[in-house]
Order: sequence, then C-alpha cells, then structure tokens
Amino acid sequence: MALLTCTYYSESLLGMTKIHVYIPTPGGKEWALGTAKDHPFFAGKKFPVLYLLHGMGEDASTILRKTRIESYAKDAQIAVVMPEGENSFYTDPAYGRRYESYIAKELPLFIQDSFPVSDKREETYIGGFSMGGFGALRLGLKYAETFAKILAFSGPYDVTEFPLHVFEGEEGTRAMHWEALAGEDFSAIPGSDLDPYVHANALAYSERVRPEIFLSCGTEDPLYPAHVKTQEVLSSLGIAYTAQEAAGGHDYDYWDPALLSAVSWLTEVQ
Amino acid sequence: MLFVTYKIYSTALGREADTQVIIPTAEPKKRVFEASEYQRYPKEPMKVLYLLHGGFGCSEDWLTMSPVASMIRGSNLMIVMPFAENSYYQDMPYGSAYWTFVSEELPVLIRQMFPHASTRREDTFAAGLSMGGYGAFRLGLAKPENFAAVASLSGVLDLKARIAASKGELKSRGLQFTDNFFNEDEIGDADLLLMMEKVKDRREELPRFFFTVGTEDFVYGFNQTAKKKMEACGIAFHYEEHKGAHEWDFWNKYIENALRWMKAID
Repeated sequence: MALLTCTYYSESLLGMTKIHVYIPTPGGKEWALGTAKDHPFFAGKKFPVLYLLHGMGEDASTILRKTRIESYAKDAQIAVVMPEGENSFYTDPAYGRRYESYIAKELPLFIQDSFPVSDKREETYIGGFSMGGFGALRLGLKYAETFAKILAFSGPYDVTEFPLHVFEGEEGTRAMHWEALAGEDFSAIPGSDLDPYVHANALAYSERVRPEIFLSCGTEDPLYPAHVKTQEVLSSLGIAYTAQEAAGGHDYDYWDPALLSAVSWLTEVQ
Repeated sequence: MLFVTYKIYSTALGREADTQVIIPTAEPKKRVFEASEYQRYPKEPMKVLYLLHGGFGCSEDWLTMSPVASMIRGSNLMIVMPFAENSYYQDMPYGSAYWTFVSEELPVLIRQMFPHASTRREDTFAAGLSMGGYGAFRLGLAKPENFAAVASLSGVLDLKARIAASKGELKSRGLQFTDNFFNEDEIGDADLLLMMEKVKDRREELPRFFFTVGTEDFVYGFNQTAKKKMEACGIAFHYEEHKGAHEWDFWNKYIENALRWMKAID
C-alpha cells in the first residue's frame, strides 16, 4: 500500500489541512513473487474509497497508529482517506472550521481528482470511531447521494443524552465545545440538523437512495445505549442496517478487530 | 498548494521509499464552498520537474532551503523530489539502485498516482544542484526521449575528475565514491563526458541543456570541462556563470533562471 501524507489547502476550511491516504499498490512480497506488474495500480484502476473519521481529541494520524487499517485495506484492495476533524463532530459549526462541508462535499471531489480513486457512489464509503462514528452516521445519512455505505463505531448518536447530560459537572474538559457547534442552548439540538435521527427520518420519508449501514459497539462502552437506540430508530423508520457487538469498551482494543470485520462487510459481494 | 510525502515500495531500492511531491492547486478564499464551482487543478496536464538534491542532502532540501514551492504557486508545474543518499544517482554495487529508481521506476510511480501529471516528453524536466546537477544531466543524456530540458546548478559535471579529487585534494572532506561504483576508476556511462561523445550523433534528439555555476565554486573547473566537451560534440546548451560559491544563496538566486529557460514555468 502506498501511503501519501498530504498537507493542502481546503476551500471549505479556508486553510491548510492534513490527510493520510492509502492507495493499493504492490509491495515487496508481490515484487518478489513476480505478481507486482499485474497489480491493478499499474493498469490505471480507480479504487473504491473509505473515508475514516477519527474521534475527539485525535487527529488524522490516530487511526493509522491505533488500528491495522493498512492491512485490512490491502486485503480489501480499497483506498482509505483519514482526514483531520479537530473536535468538530464533523459539522459546519456556529463557531469553527466547516468540517461538514469539507468532509461531505469537498474532500470526495478532491480525492477523486487527485488520486486513482473511483468517483462512483457505490464505491464511496464513510466510517469513523466515537465522534467519528457520529460523523459517519450523520453525514452518511444526510449525504446519502455521496456515500453508499456507512461504518459507524460507538458514536454518541443520541443527542438527547450527549452532550446534555454526559458532561454535566465535569471540569477541565476543554475539548468539549458543544456551544461552538450550535450555541448555548443544548436543548435545541435534538430534532435539529445536528441530530443524526433527523437525517434518518428525512431519508425514510423520501424516495432518495439509501446507504447500507454497519453499526458496531462494545457492550461495556458507556455509549452502548446509543448503539441500541439507533437500531430502534432505524428499525422504526424501515431503514436496514447490520449491527455488531461484542464484549469491549470505548477503545481501540474493541475498534481494531471491529474494523477488520467492518471492512470485510464493506467489500462483500452483495 | 498540495504537499505530499509519497511513501511506496520501490522494487529498484528493495524497500519503502519516500518522495516529496508539490503540486500547485487553486486556493479560493470565498466563504462558502460550492461543489458546482469546484476546480482544483489547471485544465491542462501538469508539467513535471524532477528536482534532485545534492550530496549530504535529502528530498526535503529544495522545500526547506529554496523558494521553489512559492515559485510554482499559480503555475502548471508540479515538482517531484526523490531521495538518493550520496549515491550520485548510481545503481550502487552494494546498496540501492538509485539510477534505476530515478530514471525508470519513479516516473511510472508518479504517473500512476497523480492523474494530472503529464506523460508527454515536452512537459517533463529534470534539474538539480551539485550531485543533483550531475544527475539531471545524466538523465538528459541517457534518457533523452523522456525529457524536454534539463538543468544543472553547480553540477559535478566531470565525475571522473571529482573522483580523482576525492583521492587527492578532497581526500579529507567530502564524499567518497567507493560505495557508488564497483571500480571508481572505471565508471563507464556514468561519465557524462563519455555520454556526450556517445550521443553526439543524435544531438537533435537530445533535450535542451542549461547549466550555471559560481565563479568561486570548487566545481567551476568541472563545468568548464563539460562546456568544452559539449561544444566539441556540437550539443546545444545554455551556460551562464555568476559570482558565487557552492551554496544555497547561489542556487536560490538562479533556480528561477533555470526553470524559465527550460520553459518549466512561464
């Protein structure tokens, strides 16, 4: 796998940002076995692509460091893009850089334009962990015309719970700036554009194309209830999904093996 | 601007290798992103410059020490900067095959990865400083079908003389060449002066050659030797000399001349 670490100007963010990009290419083993020249990279193939979103407090490098994404992507022969999202929850916030416009509108255009990556919806996927899981689900539902498949791991999807209650009384959590997202009135968030269930609802009552959804969460994860509630919401709306759970917490010990099975699900022949 | 560290397995080198790539991209400052107005790259395929570092250097040198990144803003030129240790862009006998990497493998890896990179000879250039100047000229002489123009800044254009010096007046400092050749006294086609003789009958097929050197530079004499040989072989070139020594002040002053003369930038 080739790894391209890029720093470049984003129109949505009005500034420079960083991404790590994996593109399937032959490695030492393929060259030694004599199969490298037949690798699709040399035939000009445009690869399916997974946008993988990091969690709160993390950055574009975290997933690279804490999972074996390179190995999973190589087996699946997909490209992977790991962007920077700061602590934006991948929204266009009231205060801060416009990460929703960046991830959902600009980044796929930039990647298709810049690298041997497919421009087909069927081959464009979005996934993420924790805050990134929230981002993947919300953006995947809102921008269903862009993303064919969603991999959402352990996200705080239920906005009636988070942030309203989780950080009450907690000091020193500078990272949590929900006020930046939508102003001081947290009670206005459920039912608003920030609420992933609003976008699930909008999709359900339309003729629009639907993404395939994969939800995963550890059973000891404090956000496990949101994983359960999301399934209830999707079921009640008639939106299909695949759910996976296993013993585990809100950490990469759970997410790394879950990522392996999710990537396999991604590229299964339907 | 897009800055890329492009890490990929190289079969010539037998391992993962990093190459720096810089690509000028549009940078709209308007406040709302409109997908319908998205345009990042020029409509024409981008010209490609292979820009080679010098001895003791690395692929980040031209980025950190020179103004080339700001020079290509708004242009149609992308720059590729490989890393070649102190190899003199040779296939090292007990080391990495940098000549094969730079002359054959890297252009393929660039074209396959960057859809906007032009594949035309007329859009492809090589340039470098010192050891890299030698490398650029070697590319132009050995692979004339691949390059429209090549440029050397303070290039070590008489490699045999340089090797001799490494055993003489430069013995206590600077590069040794024992890693780069099986026999440093018999360097074959790595000798640019020999190559010039070999290709002189095909001079119309050669790229355009630009070279510049400082009058106080220790490689000044090597450049005079090369100049005389090119004249004798009837190979067209542009030569200019300026006050200056073997240093970034010189390369930073004259790299723009090289790029404009080659028509890599307007």
